[in-house]
Amino acid sequence: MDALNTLFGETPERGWITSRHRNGRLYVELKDISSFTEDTGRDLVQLVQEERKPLEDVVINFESVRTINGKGLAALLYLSKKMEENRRRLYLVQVNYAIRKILAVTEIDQLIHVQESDARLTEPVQDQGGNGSPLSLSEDHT
Amino acid sequence: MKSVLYIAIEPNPESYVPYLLLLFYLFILITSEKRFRTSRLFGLLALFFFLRLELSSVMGAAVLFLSIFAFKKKEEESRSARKSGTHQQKPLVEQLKEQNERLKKRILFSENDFLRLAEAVEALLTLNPIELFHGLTEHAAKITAARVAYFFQYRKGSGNFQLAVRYTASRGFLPPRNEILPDKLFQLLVQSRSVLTLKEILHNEVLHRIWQKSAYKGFIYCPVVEKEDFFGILVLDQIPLFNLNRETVHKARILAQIAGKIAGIGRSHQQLIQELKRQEAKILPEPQQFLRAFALEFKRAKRNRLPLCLLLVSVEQPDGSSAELSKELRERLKNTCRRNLREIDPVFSAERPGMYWIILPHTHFKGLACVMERLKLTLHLELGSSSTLACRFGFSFMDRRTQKPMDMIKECKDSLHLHRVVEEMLVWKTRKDIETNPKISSE
Repeated sequence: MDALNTLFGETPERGWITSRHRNGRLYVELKDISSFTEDTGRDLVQLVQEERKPLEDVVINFESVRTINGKGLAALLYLSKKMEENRRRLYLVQVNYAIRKILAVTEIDQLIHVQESDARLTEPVQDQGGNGSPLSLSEDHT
Repeated sequence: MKSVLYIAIEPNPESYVPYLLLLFYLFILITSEKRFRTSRLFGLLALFFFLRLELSSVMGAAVLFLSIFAFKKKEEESRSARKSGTHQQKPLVEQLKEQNERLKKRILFSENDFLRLAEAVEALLTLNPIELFHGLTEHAAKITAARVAYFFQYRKGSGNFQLAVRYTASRGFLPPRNEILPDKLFQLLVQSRSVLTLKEILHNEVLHRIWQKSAYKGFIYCPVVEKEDFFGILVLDQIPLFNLNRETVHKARILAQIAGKIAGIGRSHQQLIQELKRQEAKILPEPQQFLRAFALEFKRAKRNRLPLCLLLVSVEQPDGSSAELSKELRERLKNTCRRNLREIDPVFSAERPGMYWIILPHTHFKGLACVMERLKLTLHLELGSSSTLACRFGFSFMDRRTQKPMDMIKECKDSLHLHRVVEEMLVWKTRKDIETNPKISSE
């Protein structure tokens, strides 16, 4: 496990949220989290603030998340705003259909970059922050 | 007895004096007071002793007379002592003890009786008719010592009776058979409304014939009545005959009367609540109705572990302030919401005009998302493309952490606020984009 962490630059596990640095981005995975609530949001914000290197985008994998409540959305929005201030971006990948609908109705999808459930089918997201290379999601999950 | 005497005395047929003496002595023994009988019995034994030793009958008679004389004297002494008040201490104490015992028994019996009645009355103090009739049947059976008791509930519409409670002293409550009785005896009781006992039945031929045909023959029939309402009949069966007296019937009657009164109060209480609910539905403003309806749905969902979602739709000014909507438009918006929902999803007007609460019972998160999307589309169409009004949504769903209905309501309001914040942020972002890139504004 330590070897894997060293290989992928993964930090020691923080409950059910894991993170790793790759291609100038922080990849965050939510393991076995079916409901994205304020607790998850708080932990995520804390982790991102601790782990994120300057001028680094954040990609959150929403594969296991089935539901999200208002406070969870608020946490995502807060994170997005903080990153916007530093001219960086927040990406949500593998977001399920229902959550995407909620994000669309509440118009949060206009502030956060949301990708479809199967990341391999998506187009590479062009980095607009300046420093990082284009985000190729297919590369991350192979 | 005679044979015993023959053997003991071995009488001489020629002499009948001992027989006479013996008879005389036996007569005294029987007629004498109880407490002298023992001493006289000793005298009789002495007589046997003398006779067996074949002493002359004269001697025997002399001894006998002497003993009788002695005992008589003793008896007179005791009588005079009783008259003068200097009676022996032991019998008096015994008498007092006996009296004490008798009094104790009487007090204990009356105490038990009182406690039983108190218990019965306590069991009857309920507005729930099922509990009331169960309590009546059980305690009436206990007080009257009936081994079996039934309660037949009267069905006003059909005029029939239904066996509601079955109680036996040995096995307690038994599940009542779901049978409906068009019993003639019961119909008579509906007419008479008075207690009927076995004594009355046996003295009346017609009644006796009807009683014999009855499916449930009882010893005491007590109708439970209050004014014009007839609630049912309490039937007490298999009462021990020594207990089947006027007092028992009276107790059963009193219990039935109390039950009747309480059932009457319960019925009027129920009518009052129903009327109150009807009035409340007319008087209560919709936000109050929503709170009540949502609390009920929440309870149901929590109890049955069913999904539940709540939606708050707000048609308002872009800055979040209340829009001045005409009554027609408000009704139209509400109807649009209703058209796009199931029949079981109630829509309530919220505190502000143009704001609606929508309860979505049996709805998961996916369903909630679909409803939100559909409503957003249709409400935008209803408002028209030229409208400057914003349509915003707040949502919440029940999960394991949700404890109270107010948690969901608060979360809903918070997410509506979030939607407003998002729109503000978007406006700010657009302005910033225009400032940084003037080409966008020209386009």
